[in-house]
Amino acid sequence: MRRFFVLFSVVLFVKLAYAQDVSTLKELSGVVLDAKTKEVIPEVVVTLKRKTEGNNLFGYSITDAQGRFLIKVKSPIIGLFLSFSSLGYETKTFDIESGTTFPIELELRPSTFELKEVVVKGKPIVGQGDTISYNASSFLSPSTRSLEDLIARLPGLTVEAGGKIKYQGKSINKLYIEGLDLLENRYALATQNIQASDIQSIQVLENHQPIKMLQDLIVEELASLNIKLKKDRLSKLKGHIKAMAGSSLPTENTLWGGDLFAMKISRKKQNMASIVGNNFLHANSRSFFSNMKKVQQVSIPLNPFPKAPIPKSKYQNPRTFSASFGTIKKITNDKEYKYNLCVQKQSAFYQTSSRTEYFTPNGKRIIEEVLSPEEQIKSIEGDFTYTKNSDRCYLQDRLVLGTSISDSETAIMNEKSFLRQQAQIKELMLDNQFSYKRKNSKGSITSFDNTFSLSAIPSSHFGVPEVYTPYAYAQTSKSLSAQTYLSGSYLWRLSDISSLSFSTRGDFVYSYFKSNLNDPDSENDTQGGIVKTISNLSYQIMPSSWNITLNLHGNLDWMRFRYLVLNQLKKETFTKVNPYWGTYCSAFCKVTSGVKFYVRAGMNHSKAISMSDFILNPIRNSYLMVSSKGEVDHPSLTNYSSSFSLDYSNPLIGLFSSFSLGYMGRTSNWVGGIDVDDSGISSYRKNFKNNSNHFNGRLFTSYHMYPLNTILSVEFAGDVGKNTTFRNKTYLKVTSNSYQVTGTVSSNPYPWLTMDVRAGYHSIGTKIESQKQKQLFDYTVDTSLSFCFIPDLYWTLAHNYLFRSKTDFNNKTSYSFFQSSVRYVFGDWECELSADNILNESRYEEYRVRDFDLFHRVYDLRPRKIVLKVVYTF
Amino acid sequence: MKRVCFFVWLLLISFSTIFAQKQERMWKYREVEVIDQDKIQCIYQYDVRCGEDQRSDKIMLQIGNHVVKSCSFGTYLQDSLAVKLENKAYPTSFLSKKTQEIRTRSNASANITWSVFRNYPEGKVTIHDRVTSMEYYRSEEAPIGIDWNVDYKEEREIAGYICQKATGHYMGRDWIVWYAPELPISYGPWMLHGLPGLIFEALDVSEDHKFSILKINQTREPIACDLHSFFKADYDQVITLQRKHAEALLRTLQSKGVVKADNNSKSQVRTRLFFNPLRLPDDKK
Repeated sequence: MRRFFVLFSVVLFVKLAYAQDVSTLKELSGVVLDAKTKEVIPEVVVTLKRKTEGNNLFGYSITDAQGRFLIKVKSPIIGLFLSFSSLGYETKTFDIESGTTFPIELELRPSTFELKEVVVKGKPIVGQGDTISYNASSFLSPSTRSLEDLIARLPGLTVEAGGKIKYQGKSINKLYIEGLDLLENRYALATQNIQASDIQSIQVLENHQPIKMLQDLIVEELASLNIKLKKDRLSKLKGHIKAMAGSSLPTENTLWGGDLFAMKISRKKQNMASIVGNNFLHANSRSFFSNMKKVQQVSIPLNPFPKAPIPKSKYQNPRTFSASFGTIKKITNDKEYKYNLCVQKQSAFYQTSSRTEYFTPNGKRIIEEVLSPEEQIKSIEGDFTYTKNSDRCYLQDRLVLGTSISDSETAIMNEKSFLRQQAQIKELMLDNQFSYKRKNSKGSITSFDNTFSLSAIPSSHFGVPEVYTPYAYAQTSKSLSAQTYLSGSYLWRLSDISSLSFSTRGDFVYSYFKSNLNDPDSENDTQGGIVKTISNLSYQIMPSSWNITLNLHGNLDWMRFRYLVLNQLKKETFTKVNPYWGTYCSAFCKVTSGVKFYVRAGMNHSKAISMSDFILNPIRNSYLMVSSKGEVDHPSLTNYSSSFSLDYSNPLIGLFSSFSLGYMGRTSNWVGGIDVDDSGISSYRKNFKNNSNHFNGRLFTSYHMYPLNTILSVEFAGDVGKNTTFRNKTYLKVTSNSYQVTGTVSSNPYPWLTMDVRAGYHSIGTKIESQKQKQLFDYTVDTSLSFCFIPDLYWTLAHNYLFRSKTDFNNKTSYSFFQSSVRYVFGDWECELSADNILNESRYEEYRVRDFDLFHRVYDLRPRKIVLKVVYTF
Repeated sequence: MKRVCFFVWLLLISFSTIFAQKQERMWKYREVEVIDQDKIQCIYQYDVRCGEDQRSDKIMLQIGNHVVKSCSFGTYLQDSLAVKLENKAYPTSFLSKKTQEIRTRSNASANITWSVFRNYPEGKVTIHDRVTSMEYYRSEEAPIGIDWNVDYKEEREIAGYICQKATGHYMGRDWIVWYAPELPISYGPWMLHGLPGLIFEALDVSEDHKFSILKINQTREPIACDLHSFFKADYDQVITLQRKHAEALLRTLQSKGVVKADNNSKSQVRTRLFFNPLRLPDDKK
């Protein structure tokens, strides 16, 4: 009975306890009112939290249209509090105490509400069909300032030193800004000046055919880029003004410079103007016209010492002035015109002084020497292009006019000698390119192209050597070249999936070259012309997702030159008629959107070539490419090469790697004669025979760790080869090898730190038969650190170090370059103070002259620079 | 005199013909009614999958003083244009240019037809949708609450806001959402709602549907409601009709060998059906 009582009391206790628990299911309710108007507020978020437990949410409710809320809670409510928040009202909390009774009435005071406006970074990379779109905001870092910096950070894209952009290792075809191509090859003007923060996205257009009417017919293998600006940047005048001032030590030269870049970009009309003037920076060659291919800097090998490894821009103080203006306007959807004008003058004058110590058996000798080369190039060039690019018709006419003068002068002064050389090249050119294509209703295409170009290049060389050669000399030369290319073609659309085309082209080249040296034995005089005709028949079938082209061409070349034979002082006429043929087959197939391949094979009278690329996108946006290439010259088997490469990239996991192996062989067998290059200028070749065999390999891997903003990359490359040259009845065997290892870490792990470290080792070895092996080793370490401890204040430290040693003369060079800059950004203004210093550059050589050893040490004195830069961006 | 009269007459005739040619057909674009003004606009990226096909669009969420509207970005642009045009007639060339601009701006691959109005009329949810381009439907229903399980321990930063995780079952699908308690707005894209913060990301457990925030703006733009001649219907019936129509269309296309033109301009016969509604009708309540 007692036991039963105990059991009964336990059951009762449990039941009571349970009942107690049920009774604590509290209902927290109330009404929320506006403190001013006393009206109820709907949609107020009411949350129940405990003060000590941070975000622990015990319950929540949202007020209804009558401003009522209700939260049911089981746990004890003492120590909890209610929080009331709504947009446009101050957030209020209400502590629940033991005496609190519900429902409650609570008033919220109105307040102004400021939302922190955010634009969320979308997916970093989006692929859709043949277009890959990179979201710019995902790749920005504090050190990313220009569009070029941004492109260099995009996986799959690289920017070379001159501003050239490559995609998957191949140069891009075109760079569009909002769908328009204003600058063509000079796109560096845009990529180096447009601010990275103005960019919305960068699209890679694979297989993009710029001519609309050929879009389904001819597959373009190179990719193009399209830059999309942020919407609020469109149709507005954007750009920057830059002013620079500084000093260069120890020469105490004043440095000055200014830049103005302005652009107004819209989808219909684009204007871009740039004016650059300074006395210490080199102009980027890709920002200027590339039509002036024939003008080259005259280089005179005067400096008897090995070249300094420091890039010229680090110590040279060139004077640069350039002004460039371009406009493109879309008249209608299909028609556009553009014109560009560019004036540039660049002169570089610099002095390097060196101190050389010779340790001879007769004692130490010190020679101080001053080398002062001066180079100057002036050019003015303009072009006008009209394009009609519709589904039925393509018409383009392009007129280019330009002139340039390039001067160079070098002087070496030391206690024993004075040597001066001068050279000048002038060029005048006129170019007109006309192209017309028309498609009829059946899809057949007629096309006609004409290019006319005229160029004149007078040049002169002049030298006053006083010690090294016994006489002074002067040489003048004149050359005139006129070229016309005419071509026409017709493409029959046989059916929906096949076409046959015939094209013929005639090239007419006349060139005249005359040079006079004050030595009558070496007068040169050549004049003559070339007529070339090429006819081409091709058959193309395009079943769905395939594109196969069979090509057959026949050429007939006729050339006639009259030239002076130098050593025999008589004039000879050289006439050659050269018929040859060729065939070429290419196939492109897109199996699905993820698998495509290109196969190309061809041969002509002298060469056979085959190439294949197999591209697989196994996972979305990833990329696997296997390509092979073989080339052979037949029937003489003079040139043969083959290569194989495997590329894999998967931006989603951040891996990019490429592996390639190649072999190149060459056998040349010249017996003499005239060699005519593209500009029509001929040169005389002597007897020589050349054999070479080279093997090379490269492995490149880069890994982007997205969450850590870090890129790791490693590159191994090597080349082993052997050359045999037979020249002037003697054989010379040269074996060479070169290999390099480069590792790079580029990281932005915290918002306040950006670091780039690059370390490399590079070796080139050559061995000439029966001589000692020569080996050159380079060790490089480049470090760059950027800090941003205070918002908008960036501090960058950069250090480049190179150590080079050569085994042959026991020659050692070391150089170290240090740069520090502080940049402060305030609104549209930016101020930067930078200082750089080449800490030292010394070379040490040791060699034998006759019977005694000669030690040779050179110290080069390099200037230090300090520059203040102020930039206003609008 | 006769000659002068003749010339005057000729001149008049020619003028009249010139003016007649210039007179273009006028057209009313779309009739809308402004029902509220928004305080906040949120744009979401919407990815939808059906089998292996994946499509995307942008969703606009307009939070007004009383009404909350969620529709595709394209629909929002169309409605905004209609508000600006004030229900007046305009030349067709002008309208076609404007609609072309909208098409290029919205750039969507998913064809989102629904627009959801919460608290319009008061206390109700209205859904506008269409089956073909001629059949417009309007469904009015009572709001259905979502029983969210809030997991305050899991936190994630999205666009500078600390977001918390919540899971819940709604309209036949299980949802995982991330909401920002910092923004006391109890709404989200489509019909998702009822959390103590704005929904920044929502993912259907089957990973067929995903909304993720792109942009939040404080604005004062009108919230517009379409004034089509709507058929009134239960929304589940509308979805059933849409499915039937899509299946019938596919059969017709296949039987006639009609091809679709995709981005790669290589023709391909359409073989698969792209139909995966957000709301599953069989499991609504």
